[in-house]
Amino acid sequence: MVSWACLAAVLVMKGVEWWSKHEPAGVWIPSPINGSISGEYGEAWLHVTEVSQRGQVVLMAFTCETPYPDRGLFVQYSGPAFGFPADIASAETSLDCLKSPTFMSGPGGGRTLVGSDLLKGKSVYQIGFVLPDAATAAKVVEQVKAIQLGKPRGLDQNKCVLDLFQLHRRVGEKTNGQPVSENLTAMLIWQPKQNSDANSNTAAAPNLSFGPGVEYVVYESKDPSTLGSYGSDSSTNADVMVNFDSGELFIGAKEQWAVQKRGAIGTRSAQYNSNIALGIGSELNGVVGLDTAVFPAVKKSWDEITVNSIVEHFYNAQIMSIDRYPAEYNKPFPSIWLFRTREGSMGVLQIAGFTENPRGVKIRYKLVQNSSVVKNDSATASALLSEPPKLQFLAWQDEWKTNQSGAARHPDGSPVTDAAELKWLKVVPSGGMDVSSWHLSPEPRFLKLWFSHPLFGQGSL
Amino acid sequence: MAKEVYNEVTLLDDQNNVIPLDARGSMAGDAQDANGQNGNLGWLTKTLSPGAGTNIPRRVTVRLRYTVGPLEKTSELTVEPRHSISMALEGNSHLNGVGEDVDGRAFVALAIDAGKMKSRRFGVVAVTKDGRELTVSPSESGSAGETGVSVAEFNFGIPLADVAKFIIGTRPIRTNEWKDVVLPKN
Repeated sequence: MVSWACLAAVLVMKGVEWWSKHEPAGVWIPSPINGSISGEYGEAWLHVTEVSQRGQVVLMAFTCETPYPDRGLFVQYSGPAFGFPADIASAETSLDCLKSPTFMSGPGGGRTLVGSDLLKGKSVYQIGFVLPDAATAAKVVEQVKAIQLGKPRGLDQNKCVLDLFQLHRRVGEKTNGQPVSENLTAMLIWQPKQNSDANSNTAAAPNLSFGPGVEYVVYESKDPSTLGSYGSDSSTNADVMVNFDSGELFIGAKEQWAVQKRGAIGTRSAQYNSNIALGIGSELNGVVGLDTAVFPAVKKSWDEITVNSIVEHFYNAQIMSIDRYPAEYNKPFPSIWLFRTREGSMGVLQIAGFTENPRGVKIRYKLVQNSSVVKNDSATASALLSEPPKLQFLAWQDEWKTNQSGAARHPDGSPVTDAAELKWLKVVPSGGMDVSSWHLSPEPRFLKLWFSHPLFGQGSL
Repeated sequence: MAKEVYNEVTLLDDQNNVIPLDARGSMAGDAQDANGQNGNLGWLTKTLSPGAGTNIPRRVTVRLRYTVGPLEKTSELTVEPRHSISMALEGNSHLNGVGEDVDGRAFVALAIDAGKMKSRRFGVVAVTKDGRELTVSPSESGSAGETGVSVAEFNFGIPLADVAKFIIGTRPIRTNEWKDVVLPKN
């Protein structure tokens, strides 16, 4: 089973790679958006209520409820410039904001044709984005309908960016055959209080710092019991991946092990029911970010990398399905890499060295975290400690086995239908009981309970 | 901040009486740290049996007892070779031993006066020589009630030689109840 799963994963990755090279040149295609904000709780409650198009302009209406009226939302629209009628704004003067794209980074990115790119003080907004043509605008309308329409989103300082739509198009190839693409991305950015000022044009970085450094020696062969629940047949010469978003370890196919000892970042994309990962594999033979933007930090040591440099570098990064840095023969290969996953995790990774007996690769990484949350700051710590846990869902185990999230209910008995909650049920491990060998009569029925709290975690076991 | 390390789920009936768990009281659990996929929430899941056949209540009260947050009232225990250590701890409890098990894993064992530690739980953090902080849940033996002495053993997956010090402390046990929880229909 594991071998088939690995084969399927390889085929999928190859398929993505093939598609990135063979999708039609010059045509804008919607990029996957994995719900940059999945929850509906936060400092601002956003709800896209309407989306339509008028020619090459996409129009959106949304509500924004917040107890912080002094804070606002920046509208950002980045991408290549293109032509449009000079009087396009005259038909949209009632909008709160109409933008065309620019390559400018940060809040305020994009050219504001109507209104302001800082939205605040109202509960209902109407905004517009100029697209290259009406056909592309129609694609955006469909993407926004699928991803955002009717789905409340909660924004706060940790989840401050809501991707509205994202398109990409292939524009050519590098000399090494790698595809070159460009993106059109529109987003809303919830600004922290201190910089939510109409006169401010700078990106307001929350109180960020590095989290703890994580180090691994990825051995060629490893006892699977320490890594996961995969079968032992997959553990020999295993390719081990680190999920930057969750910290989980995965074991890949043994065929992926690097005989030449190269480092690589690979991912198992969320759209394939997997996630961002670090891999060491000869197949990749370099650093490859899949659904992850990666960038070599040359001429900088581990300690010289700052949080700000990572945030600034990736602030407006286009997250491509494949971002490849192949190793070049007889040339030094960078050991330090900056990365940002599509899910928003950012950090720095170092291929720190190799071991020979047993053969392995030393890696370390650290993630950018909001220090106001992760540090033992007294006010935040107190708030977190006093926050009560939530009983989120219940399900009978026998029904869960056959119906998964369809079997789950809220504590008041209502079914779980919210997309974000259904996603949680999919990714949160719930374990289970099997006492069939006891032959109890009557057979006991098992109830599954899901609790959440910011400080719950793997130490809970 | 250290993650939550203790939890206990109890089901109560409409008279606030504890519902004895079926399947010999068996219970399973799982947990996940907050991440971008799970709503940036920490998760704890429990699987237990409130009954069998028709003997299952329609509504229950769910009581969760748990600990979260940093250790309080901490004592530090520096690991040094050829040192015999004795340490009195909170609530008439004592450090029972520090060492390595047969698998070469460092452990700390505490003798706990259950009667005086009804409202708090011990926790131990191992600080490694390269600066990492490791936390584990203890395996417990001895008194399971509210009196007597129990032994809590904290086994860390690293050799004792890699440990710079242990931090021993306690956390208050917090309780949250959800009343009138509707058990899903068949």
